[in-house]
Amino acid sequence: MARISDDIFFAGILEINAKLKAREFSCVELTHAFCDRLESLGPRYNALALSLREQAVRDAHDVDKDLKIERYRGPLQGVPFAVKDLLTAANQITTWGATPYVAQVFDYDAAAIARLRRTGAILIGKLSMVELAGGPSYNSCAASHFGPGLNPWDTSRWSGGSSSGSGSAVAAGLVPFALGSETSGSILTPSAFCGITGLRPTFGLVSRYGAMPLSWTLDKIGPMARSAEDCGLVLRVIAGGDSNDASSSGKSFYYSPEWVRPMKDVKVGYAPVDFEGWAQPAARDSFRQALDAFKSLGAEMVEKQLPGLPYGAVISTVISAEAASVFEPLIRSGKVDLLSDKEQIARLKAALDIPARDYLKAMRVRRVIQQALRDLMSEVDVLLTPARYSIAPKVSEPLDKSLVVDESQPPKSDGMRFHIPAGNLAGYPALSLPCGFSDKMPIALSIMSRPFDENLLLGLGNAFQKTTDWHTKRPPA
Amino acid sequence: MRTKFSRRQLAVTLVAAAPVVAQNPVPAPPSDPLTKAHEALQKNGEILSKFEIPISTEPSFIFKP
Repeated sequence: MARISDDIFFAGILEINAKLKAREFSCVELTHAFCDRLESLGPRYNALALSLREQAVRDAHDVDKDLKIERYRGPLQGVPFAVKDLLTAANQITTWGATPYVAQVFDYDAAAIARLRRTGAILIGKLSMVELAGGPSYNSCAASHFGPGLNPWDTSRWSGGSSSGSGSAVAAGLVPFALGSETSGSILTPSAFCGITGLRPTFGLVSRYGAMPLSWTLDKIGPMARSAEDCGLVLRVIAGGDSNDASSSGKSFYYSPEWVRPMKDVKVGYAPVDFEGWAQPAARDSFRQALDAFKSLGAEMVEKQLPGLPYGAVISTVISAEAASVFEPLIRSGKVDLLSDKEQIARLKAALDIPARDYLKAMRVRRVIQQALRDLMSEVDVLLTPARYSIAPKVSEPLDKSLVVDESQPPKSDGMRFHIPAGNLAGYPALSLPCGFSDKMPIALSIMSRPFDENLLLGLGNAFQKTTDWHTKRPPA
Repeated sequence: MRTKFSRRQLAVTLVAAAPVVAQNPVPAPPSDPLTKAHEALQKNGEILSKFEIPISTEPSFIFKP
């Protein structure tokens, strides 16, 4: 068997694919190597939900046959990947991270998985997640059937949620890329906490067919990978119209960063108070350096802030009402009590009583938010913010204590600290980019663009990652 | 159907929103999780009910970003 060096576990998609084509190792050998790593190290981070080695090796044999006759299917051919356990893989257990669903099996692949497998990417496993992708709310890092997601940079800290396993598996080199999902922050947060690159696509760009619904008007599937380039390569495959998803936009995505306009023509909105006031004090120096690195790319920087709107009340009402409807059978059956997080159990039960009046008002205010963001984004091309304002919290701390910014002496302006609910309510895409360290833990920037402008995000991400090396750092062995 | 606001309408809405967003009532937190959950959702409803929007504003059901 060919020797597969540790560097391969942290290599980008193009490099892995090139080595496969050069026959430096076979796809079967590569698949076994990644499966070994996922199975042995995945449990260390509570990241592994299910190994799919048997099926993966079968698929890898097919790829080797294709490569032997030079039948090439694109850059993902032969590249292993894993998915958040919210996506169905045919005839395999899909738990949604929740004890009541530990025996659940569907007989079809989720659309995003099917698209990846068609191009020859090798599905090697399913990854842990916060139960029910966080439901309406949760307050414990341990809110998962698999236990708390542990961060490869420091296992006493959380890997973030709700795509916890996707974040830690990519960071620890257990897979080259993974799929996650975001309703409000579930791709950006674990990407930021684990020091990887994560893309939340525009709402409707990637089919959710085969994904657990949490909130029909907010859910999105996206890539979590080593670089902006890898996110682009994955998005190109998983994006596209799908009649099985009622909210599909019908649009495709062609990754073409070479056509991104010159940096000097890009207008970037940012709020200094995000970096100087809202960021965790210990992280401010690192955020400042990252902001300087971003400014050095040559884009025009313009001070902006999000309009003052009730983002929290709107997104909380929308998610709670939609999730309560989705999980009404679970709630009424009493099996909801099998969930791990008391806050989520209570919130799901209480959400059945949300008046139609409140849901409708939230959806009307959401229209105002969409319009306000559209106006703001008519003046700039992207918004730049810290992806999260603090480093990953300790797993032992309740989230309402650890993730909340100290508001005892709040800055005078909110800046853009509500960019996660605002961007999700408006359906805008965003990219999380590793941008340094604080207390030996990764921190990240987020850039958000207008809908379907992922190429601009990825072009900016590529430019940033060509001049910085934070995305190449590896957690301690 | 897309609801269009004039910039003036939006500006009026945003100005009216400021006190709603700024308000920060601090009631003593209840201990029972279900009561706490009901109160949190009720508080959301109160914030939303105080938020004035143009009467023509439609909910974003046909959701297009």
